[in-house]
Formats: sequence, structure tokens, C-alpha cells
Amino acid sequence: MVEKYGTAQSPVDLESEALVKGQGQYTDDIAPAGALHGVFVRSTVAHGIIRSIDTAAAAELPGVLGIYTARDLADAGTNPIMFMVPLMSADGKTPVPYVSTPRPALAGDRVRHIGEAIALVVADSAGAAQDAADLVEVDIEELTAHIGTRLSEDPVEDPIWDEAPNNQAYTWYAGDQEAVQATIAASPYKVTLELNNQRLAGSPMEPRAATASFDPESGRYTLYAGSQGTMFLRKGFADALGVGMDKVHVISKDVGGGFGLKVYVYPEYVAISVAARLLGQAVRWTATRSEALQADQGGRDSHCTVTGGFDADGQLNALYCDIIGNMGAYSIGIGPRVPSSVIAENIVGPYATPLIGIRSRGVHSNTIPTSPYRGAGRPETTYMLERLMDEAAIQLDIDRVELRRRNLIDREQMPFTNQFGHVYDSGDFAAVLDGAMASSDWAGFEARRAEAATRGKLRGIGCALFVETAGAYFQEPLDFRVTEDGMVEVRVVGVSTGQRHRSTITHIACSILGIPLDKVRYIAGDSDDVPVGSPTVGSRVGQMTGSAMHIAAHSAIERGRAIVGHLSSGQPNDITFANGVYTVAGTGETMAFLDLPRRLAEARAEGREIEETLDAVETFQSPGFSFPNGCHVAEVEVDELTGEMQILNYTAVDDCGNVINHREVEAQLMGGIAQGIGQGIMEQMVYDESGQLLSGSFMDYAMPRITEMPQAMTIVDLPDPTPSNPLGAKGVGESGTTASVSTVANAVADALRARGVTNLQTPLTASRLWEAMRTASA
Amino acid sequence: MPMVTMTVNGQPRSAEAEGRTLLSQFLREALGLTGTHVGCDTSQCGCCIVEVDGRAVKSCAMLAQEAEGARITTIEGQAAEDGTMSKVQAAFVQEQGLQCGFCTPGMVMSVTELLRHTPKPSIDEIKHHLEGNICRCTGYRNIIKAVLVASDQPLGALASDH
Ligand code: FES
Ligand code: FES
Repeated sequence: MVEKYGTAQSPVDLESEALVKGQGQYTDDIAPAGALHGVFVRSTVAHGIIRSIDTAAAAELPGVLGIYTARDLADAGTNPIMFMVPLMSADGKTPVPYVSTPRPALAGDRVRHIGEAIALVVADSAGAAQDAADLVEVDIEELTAHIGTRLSEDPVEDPIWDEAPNNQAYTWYAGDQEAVQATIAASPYKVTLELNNQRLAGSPMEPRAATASFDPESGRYTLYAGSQGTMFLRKGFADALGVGMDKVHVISKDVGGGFGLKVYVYPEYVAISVAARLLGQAVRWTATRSEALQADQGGRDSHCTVTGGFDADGQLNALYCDIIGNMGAYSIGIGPRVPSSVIAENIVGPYATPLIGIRSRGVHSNTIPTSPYRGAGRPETTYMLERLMDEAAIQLDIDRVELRRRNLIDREQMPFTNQFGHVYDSGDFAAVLDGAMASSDWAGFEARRAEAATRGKLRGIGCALFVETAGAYFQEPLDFRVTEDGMVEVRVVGVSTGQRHRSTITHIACSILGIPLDKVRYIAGDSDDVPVGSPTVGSRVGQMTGSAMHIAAHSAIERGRAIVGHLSSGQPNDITFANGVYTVAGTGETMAFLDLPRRLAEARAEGREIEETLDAVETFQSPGFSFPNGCHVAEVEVDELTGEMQILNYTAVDDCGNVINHREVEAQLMGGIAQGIGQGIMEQMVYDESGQLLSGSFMDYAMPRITEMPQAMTIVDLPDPTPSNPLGAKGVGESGTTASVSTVANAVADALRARGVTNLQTPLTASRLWEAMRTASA
Repeated sequence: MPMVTMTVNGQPRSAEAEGRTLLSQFLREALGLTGTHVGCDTSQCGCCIVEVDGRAVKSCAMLAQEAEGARITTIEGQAAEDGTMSKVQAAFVQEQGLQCGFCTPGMVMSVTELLRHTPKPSIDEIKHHLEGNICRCTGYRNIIKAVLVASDQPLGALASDH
């Protein structure tokens, strides 16, 4: 059954036609006519004490219906946003303390980053709300702003949180620190690298938007907001409003991209909900792009010092990672986990390193809070390992591919329990490496380098191997029903933000049940329909929801067999099922799967007592992460005179387990690779020392465009299926990003090595490369 | 507020518009044509592209009042009456030139214009033409494929150089 999915030549696509016709239902598209418009007044100061907020002039403007500040929210019984997945110790057993950072929906006495919301103006038109917002006067006494991803050992002036005199958010350890340090010290070769993962802006193309309303009769809030799944958002939203989960209803329709930043509740959602309640009317808000850049959770932003102790023959004896993760002003979502436990989950990678140690320290800064952005710790981990391998190869004078080979975990060692207790149940890392070498014609590269040199181009090639965790939150419930009108209804929580989940899950259901694609109603995104389950995060939906679908469909077939037994004269084990139809052996009687609910209802109406039903909530429980892996190769050319760089060829050889649909896998990889390339060569959020945001629009925040993409791309599936789920699938949503940052960085480093350039930090812009060449030759 | 009148997807349409109302806002809010998307506020992303008197235009960079009397085509006007997708739309679906779909209306409008004046664009011409359209999801490769398919060209030109 499983094999058949991957061979689908044309993708099953039930979603794209509406979108391509402009019929999508993104949050701002479906705001009810007559909804009031909310506009936020935001801090223009990075760190300061709010002395006064003067709304008098604004309130006078025609059309203005309400102006709300922290006091109004407090009077309405709201709480600061606290919800956070606890930071746990490396063994997962004990919570690790971190500074508590209650985040107000509207800042009252203190502002902690540029763009923090201070007041909400609601008016009957967007124009009136904006005009009034411009008239709100906020007097802020400035405090010292703390910017940058560095940690002071001593107390700082005006710490962001009193609890943390040096702005330190947490300290977290993994591995035997002393043993690792001692082994590194005793190793004949010690290789150290400093690597900066600059702050990124996730920037889904649909800016965040929300519409809130309140029903006084039921006391319920309804929030329309794009999300990756309503549950986590709903929990944080209810807590912040100070009501029970049953009092909030969250709905996400079409979502224009998520990438990790549409998982949790945001301050704006709480503020407009209170306004909607107080005004008795729906209130809508849509972020402008500059608001998105100031107020969407940030991505990455960690500084890593990685040290490897190697033998003369290239064996990596011990690895130490010292990480500072920038939390921004508040710890939100799983922010503190990204530069700590997620690193530990991934740091073993494809290598049989006997000893690994990590120290991770969080620092608060006067910037937007950070939390996952596609990859969330995985690209950073691969970056440490793969840059280290390349630098070690130079220092040890061993070929960089050979050095990797000497350290690989062998396929024969599976199942391999790694140092941090995760079990690799499959994965042939030598095979993906070989595959990538062959597909990229690595062996023929030097001739291409020589040819490029004749054109004034420095050509380089680089590779990165990776193993990453996928399938976070190891439980997946799926509500399966068949209605009397002969439709299968599937309720799941993970909202598609472009992954075409409905198509994939429907495809799985129909392949098993032998029914046409239009007989499945896929229901997601409404918290009343689907109250529990995890969102679309951590490359999980294909393997988790897909497996739940697989189990639910198979178990429904079995329940159907029993029902057919009751309805016919046959015995369940005489009843066969094929192509959506049961056949009773002997009598030859047939019954369609989709007809059973109607027939059951008829039988019951006739007074027959049959308890069975096709409906069930099935939960797939996985034993742990799956481990997608692969090897990517990039080939680049840098112009010797200008530093301009072009990615020529990009090769990705990936083991994402059994492939349900190759074209969808390819689509995920290509999109992920592009985002990693963005980090590698252009994207960067820039704050000046006073905390002003210099990359406040798409004029200054460099989004990858069509011209920056690799000229040629080869994507190869090399599946080594996982036994950890019935589909054998491993996940693919983040693989592209996990690999491509390092792949491109290694290729550029290789191109510039001949010019003596040794230290390169992303983003590898033309001006940085030019500067690096100039400094190296000086 | 003054009334603005224009022909949109073949139909005469009028509605009130303030002097500062952008064409993108007017189409979305006053006319309910929400297929035209707004992805930025600095005319950088191309999500809002529509056709004004035969030219692809960023509708966030034009005032509604400036479009008085204009002939406008939006994404909603691309498919045939019976719902059959245009050749460009069908190629985007076939080649998966979209994921979340938010940039897609602007991409389709932009490509439709390109193919009108350059029926067989080279890959460089495609890239040059779409440089003002940002897509966060696809990595653009399937968009190039969609343009090649929509212009009846082979995909081979995308192969690697080794
Ligand atoms: S919304 Fe018009 S270019 Fe971005
Ligand atoms: S498909 Fe999501 S932005 Fe292009």
C-alpha cells in the first residue's frame, strides 16, 4: 500500500486551483463587512519607562470608537502572556529555571523593544484609526538599550528584567562538560570556529491578521487568525484573556505561510478581542509589512563557538558547543529551547563522535522575542558540524569528504542510540554522501574551477551532511467519521500553510479505502471541530497525521467488516474488502464502504441493534523522532573584483523515508533550500546600538528573489524508510533549510580559500565577500 | 467622499474612495476583490499586481482615484466564465508553482503580461520580469517551470551545467 503513494506521477492537488484563481480565504479576506478597524500605537524606543500616554486628541477624531491601553486590558481581567513550553534538562527529566518574562498585550509601564504595542485605536475606518493612532502621544523615558547576542559576566546598567542583572535568561548544559574538555585538550588537533546565526525575519508573505468578536450570551470570544494549528494559540489566548479554553473559539482558514511564527498567541490578538468585547462589535487588524518586521517573532540569532578535538587520522574525539541564544525582550513559545535542547537533539548528526558537550546561555535584549523559524536549531547545528568538518580538513590536511567518511555512523550500527538517548532506527549516511558526490559530479569539479578562473571567477564547491529530528510531539489524534450521505470526514489539527496537507492526507485515505478523492471532507483549522492536537511544526504532519490517517482508515475497514457481518448473512472472516467494496464470500453479496452508515441507519430504524460504527478517534503514537538526513552540494562562483556571488548548481540527496508524493517532497525541499540560502547570503535583521530597527521594510530586509536562486538544481530521493511509523516516512519540511545554510557557506569558503580568506560570517553578501578578499590580501 | 468608476474584469464598477485610498485597498475593500493581495507597504513584493489598461501594475503604488475610467483586470478575471483556468493558472497548478498561494495572484498577473509581449521568454527574461515578485514558499523554481510550460517550452533549459 505504501509503495503506491510515491509513484504518483501527477500530484494530488485539491487546493491550488482555488488559490491560483484568487479565491483563497486568508484572514483579511474574510473579515466581516462592518468590522471595526484596529491600529496599534507602537514603541519607537527600544527600552524605556512609559511616563504618559495622551489619547485626548486622538479620541476627538470622527470615527474613533475606542482607544485602549494597558490599564483597560487590566480592568478587563487580562493576564500577561506567559504560555511557554518548559525548558527541560538534557535528559528531559527536570525543568531548567529561566527568567520569567510576563509579556503584556499592551505595554503599560515599560517598553522593551521597538514595535512593542502600547495602545490600540479602534475606528469605523482604517483611515480614521490610522489618523488617530498618529495623534496618540507617548512619553517614554529612555533606558540603556541592550542589543546584540553577547553576554556580560557583570551586572549591566538598566537590566531588562530585575531578576537578571546581566540580562541572562537561563543556563543549560548537556553532556559531561569536564570529560569533553579534557578529551579536546588531549587531542593532537584542536579546531575552533566562531559562528554567528544572524537574526532573521520569518516573513510569510501574508502579514499576520486577525478579526475578533465576542458573544455576550455565551461569553465566548471568536478569533479568526492565520495559524499553523489552533491549539497552542487557543491555549495562550484563553490564558491571556483570563477565561477557560471553552470560552475561546479560534479559526484559521487559508494561511499565507507560517514557518514557525504562527504557532502561539500574539499580543495584538488579545488586545483586539478585549476591544471587540467592550465595543460589542467585531474588530479587525492586519499588520503592515513594517509592523510585521517590528512585531512578528524573530528567527535564529545565536552565537556559537564550536570546538572539535581530532586525532591525526581525522577521528573526531570530542565536540564542544558554547552557545549564546538571543531571546529578545521576552521568552516566548519554545524560544529558550531552540538554542539549547533542540541543538542537543540534533548535534550528533551523522557522526560517531564519542563525546559531546553543550553549554547554552540565553540572553535578553531589547529586540523582538525569538522563537522557531523553519529549522529552529537544526540549521544552526548543521552549521557547527559542517563548517567544523571543512575547517578541520584544512588543518589536518585530509580531504574534506574523506574526513567526513572516517567519522560517519555506519548503516550496520542501526539502530544507533546516540549520546543524548535518541535512537536512529535507519539512515545510510554513506549512501547519501556517495549519492551527492555522484549527482553533483564532485570528482569533476577541479576542471570547472580552472575554467572559471579564466573568466575572473573564483569557483567553489561545498557539501553538508545532516541528520535532523522530525515529528515533534509524539502523539497524533485523528477524528475519522463517515456520514450517512456517504462522505468520509477527517478532522485534524495541523493547518496547511502551503504544504497541501489536505491533498496528502486525502490521498492516503483514498488509496487505502479505495474511494474517489471527492468523497473526503478534510476539516482543519477550527478549534470547535478539532479541539486537540499539535500544530504544523517540526516537519511532523506527513509522518504523524499521515500515519494517523493510515491507522484510522485501516481500522475503519475492520469495523466495516464487522458491520457488513451484521447486515449480511456472512461471517466477518468470509468478508473481503477491495476498491471500496466488501464482498461476502459464498453469497457474493457486496456493500460499498461509503454506504455502510446509511445502511446501518436503515437497519437501526428497523429495530436492529447494532453497536458498531465506522467512526473513531484514532491516535498514532510514535516512539520518538524520526531522523531525515541527506547530503547537499552547492557550486558557486564569486567575482574576483566585485565579490558578487552566484549559486550555479545545487544538488540535494535526501532520505526523508518513504516518499508519499515525490513532487510535494521536492516542493518542500526547494522552498526550504531557498530560505536557507536567504540566511546564507542575504537576509539580516539589523538593529543599531540604540535598538532602532534599520531593516524595517522590504527595502532593507533582503528577501531572496528569483534572481538569487541556484541556476540548476537536482533533487534525488534516497529513502531508507523508518520502522517508527506505518508509512515509513521521516519528514521533509525543514531538511532543505537545515542543509542549505551550511552547504552554501562551505562552497563560498572554498571559493575564497585560494585568496586567503578564512573567517566568513553569514550573510555572505557581495560587500562582505569583497571586504574579506580585500582584507585577506592586505 | 468622491465616487470612482472603472471597468473591472469587464464590468463597470463604482464606489467611494478617499484621496489616499490605494487601488489595492479599493479593489479589496470597496469592490470585495480579495484575490489581489497586499504583502508589503513599499512596493517591493508584487502580491498586488493587477492589469491597468493592459499593463501589469503594482496596485499598492497607485491611488484609486488615478484609476478613474481605467480598464482593470484582476486575478478574478483570469479564468473563463465556466471556471476553466487560464493557461498560466493551469501551468502554475500543474507545476506546483505555488504553496501558500499568497504571492500567486501577483505572479500570475505578472507572467500573463510577460507572455503577452514575449511569448517564449528565456529563463533570464523570466527572472528579469519576476524580480519584483517575492515568494517566500516555493524557492521560485516551480514558478519558472510554470512559465516555461505556459509558453510551451521544454523544461530542459533548467538542467545543471555539468
Ligand atoms: S503590496 Fe504591492 S508591491 Fe507589495
Ligand atoms: S506561495 Fe507562499 S509566498 Fe509564494
